[in-house]
Amino acid sequence: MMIGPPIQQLTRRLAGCPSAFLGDPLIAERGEVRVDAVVADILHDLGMPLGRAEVYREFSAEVAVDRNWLRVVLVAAWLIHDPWFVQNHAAFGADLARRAMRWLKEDIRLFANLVAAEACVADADRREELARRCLEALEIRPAGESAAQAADRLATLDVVEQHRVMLETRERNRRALRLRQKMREERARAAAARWARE
Amino acid sequence: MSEEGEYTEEMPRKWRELNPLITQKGWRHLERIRSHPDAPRWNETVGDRVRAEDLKALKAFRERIHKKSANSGWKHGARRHENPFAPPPGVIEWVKNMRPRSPIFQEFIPLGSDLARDWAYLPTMSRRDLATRLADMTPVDADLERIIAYDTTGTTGHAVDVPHHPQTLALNHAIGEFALAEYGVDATFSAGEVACFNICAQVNTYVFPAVFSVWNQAGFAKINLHPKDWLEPGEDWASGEGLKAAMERARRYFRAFLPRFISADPVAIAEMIRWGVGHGARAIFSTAVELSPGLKSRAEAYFNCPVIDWYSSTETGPIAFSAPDGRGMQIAAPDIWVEALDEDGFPVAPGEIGELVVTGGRNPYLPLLRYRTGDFGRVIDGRIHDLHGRKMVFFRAPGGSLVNPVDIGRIMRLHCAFALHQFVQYPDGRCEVRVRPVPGVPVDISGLKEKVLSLFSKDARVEVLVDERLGEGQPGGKVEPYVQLGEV
Repeated sequence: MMIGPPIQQLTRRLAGCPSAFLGDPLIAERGEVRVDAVVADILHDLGMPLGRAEVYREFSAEVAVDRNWLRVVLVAAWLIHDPWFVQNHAAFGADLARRAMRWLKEDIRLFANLVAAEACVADADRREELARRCLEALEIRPAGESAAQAADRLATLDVVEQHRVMLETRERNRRALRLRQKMREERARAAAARWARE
Repeated sequence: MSEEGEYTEEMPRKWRELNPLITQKGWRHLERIRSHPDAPRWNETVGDRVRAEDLKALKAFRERIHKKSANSGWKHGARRHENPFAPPPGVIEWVKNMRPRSPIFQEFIPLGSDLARDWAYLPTMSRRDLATRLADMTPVDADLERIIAYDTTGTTGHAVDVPHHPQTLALNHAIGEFALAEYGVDATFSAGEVACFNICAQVNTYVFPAVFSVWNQAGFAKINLHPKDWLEPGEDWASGEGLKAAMERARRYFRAFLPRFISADPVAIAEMIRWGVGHGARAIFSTAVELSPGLKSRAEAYFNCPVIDWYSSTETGPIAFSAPDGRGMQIAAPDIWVEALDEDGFPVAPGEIGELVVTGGRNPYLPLLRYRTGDFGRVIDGRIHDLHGRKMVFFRAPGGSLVNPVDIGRIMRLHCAFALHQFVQYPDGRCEVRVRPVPGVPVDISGLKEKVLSLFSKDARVEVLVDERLGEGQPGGKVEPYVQLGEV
């Protein structure tokens, strides 16, 4: 695994994210920022040829629920335009841009379901998590850390994994089972008098 | 002596348990309603389950409704934020407070979100969430001890179970009071009178008497306008003579108790006119499905009282009622926020038609965040206009009795698994049931036909067809589940 920049370099970059990268993405003729074009430009600076139809297809949206994802993509795009990646992309061949695209398209989507774009800039833990997710997806280790140290630190911050655990814990399953049982009990099914059926 | 009410030895334990606050007076009144010689054949024992703490909550809720009507609280229409689609601060606060308690709220609201600014982009909840992940919708710290369950019956689709709480139903009474008061009907009730009858017109439904603690032990009954619920066992309810006898008995019963107001769906309102029952009510609440202007006018003329159309659902509770000035439906509940969204999930431009979604509510087991109702309308200054909701459809058996889609949906769900169904009655009275089966699951055609005949009578003409392509080519792959091609 290639050694990359120190994590603090990336978290400082996120903290200084310009407001233009927190703009409203264009969705169904609402908003301003063409996220697909921004991503295409940034991936080009990482070695991807311009004009790839796939980029424009994957980073445009028509529905409101995609807004936070696209906003986080913008912040993440700002992040991967750090001079370290731009100056070193050739060492990766075509891999860096390809990995970056996959990260923006897939991993970021899970993250953006749980974290607002503003938190990626304003919240120290979320800045660090986003920076570490970025490096992991690009298969780069932060300078000054071992692979195990980097993995442990990300696990501590990982909201996606914490949410997955919350949904799949025994406690959640117990709660779901108890709710079903309570609703099935004769007393629950007997309901209560109400003045109208709705 | 119970902790919360008074009782005597003559009150059976079961009634006391179901009615914690019932008094001696209330019990005697309930007995009169229950044992009247013309009473229908009751088939269930139900109480209001209200406790003392519920009455405290009701008092506070009544005050809140009063304040809302005086232009404060969760007021629709006024701008409070530079984002015109942002709800009032009270809604934002409620959502923020709910987030730590609700897994689905956490999933829908990313960490660090500016709710007021980003409100329009929040995901919506739907019936599918209710069906597949109820445990994520119910707050993790909810006390399940008093939970009750309603089947939404699914007049237009598949039914789901909805958890409810007796206090929620108690608070709904306050909304009903408000509507009555807006129409000039006294909404103060007392023991010894009957506040309300809830009328149904189905082949099968629960029928029971009750008293409401929230209304000072005033009486209530759920009544069904189907002859089999009024005749003795063995009497032929399918015949014209049976229907006539049932109607006469029902009329005597209604005259004996003269409920202050009646609640019924439009199918039942139409049957009330046919049966000649309900005279003397000072208002009729029409619920469940869309009330046509024609039926409203006819019923108002026949009963000489306002027919108040309600917009509500089991999931949301009462939302709005037809305004006395005739301009749309007034959003009555002070603890919900109603928006109209387009097909992409964005709020529509002010005054445009969109799908109505609801946030808030008073059901501790089902806090709602932009819950899609499946109904459409315009939301303008605290009113809903041009509501397109569930349509009224019903069917006739050969003997003239009514068959409600609720009855058909229930037997179909109990009898077989299917992907889609469509029930059609033709002008000549014959019925056709089309079923799209679940792959690999055979349909018991003769068994299903027998079940349908049990609703209509053995003389009815019913055909059951398996149609593997039902719904193909239709928007969303869906069909209208109930179609009436004749006149009823």
